[in-house]
Amino acid sequence: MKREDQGGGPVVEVVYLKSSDDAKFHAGWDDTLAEVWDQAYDELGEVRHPADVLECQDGVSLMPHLNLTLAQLRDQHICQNRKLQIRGETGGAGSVEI
Amino acid sequence: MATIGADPVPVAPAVAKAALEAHLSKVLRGQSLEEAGWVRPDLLTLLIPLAGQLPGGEPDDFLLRFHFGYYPEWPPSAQFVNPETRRYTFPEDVSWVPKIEGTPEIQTHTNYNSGGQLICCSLTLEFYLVRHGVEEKHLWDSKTMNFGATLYAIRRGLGPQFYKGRHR
Repeated sequence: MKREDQGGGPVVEVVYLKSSDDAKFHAGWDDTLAEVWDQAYDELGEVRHPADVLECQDGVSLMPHLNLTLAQLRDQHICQNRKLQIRGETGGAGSVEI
Repeated sequence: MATIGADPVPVAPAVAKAALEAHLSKVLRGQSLEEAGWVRPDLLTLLIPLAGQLPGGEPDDFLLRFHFGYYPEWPPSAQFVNPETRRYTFPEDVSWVPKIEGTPEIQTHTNYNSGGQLICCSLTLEFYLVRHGVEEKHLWDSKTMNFGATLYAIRRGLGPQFYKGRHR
């Protein structure tokens, strides 16, 4: 329903870095980044994992901005090209020795 | 699939080769090995040039060797190697290992517990071979991950935020 109204809405590209899969889809300027992130999983055919984080493809974290709409991101010059990536946090130096 | 406390077990070479070839084109995103500058010296090994970037400095060149003997059930073996010998020997080759610090996600050791090099990240085989502690959410998941995830994690560590020069 919502997507039918989005005809020429902004295009979002997302790469799922765990598998190198990608997707491109239309969203709405009023969609929040959190909503776009949810849609990305649907488009990729994946499910969210607790360690997943959303980034712009230049590597900058978008996690502080999940409540902003795509219009607000555009106006605030945050990841303006809407090329996103989902990566999983890894364990390493911070893990406890066993 | 990796589990906490389990010992990694090698897979049949034919299985590893098939998995590598299935994932290679996805990770290369349409490029050939040559176009990417990668070398495959044998069926289960990849050599990948990478660069560490200090803020405002010239890039430092490194050579990453992936081996896929336990793949895809376990992540690839990942070692930085001397580009001339394509091997890593401690202590002669420590300068071919980048120093990655300042993130809980990845760190490098030139001789971890006197056992050789360790790229300390839950997406490398060695991390499990040394029985490093790990949270369940960080475990390698062969159903959703391929070696591209390992490569991205290492490349991220080589960015100006975490790369601190060569080991000495």
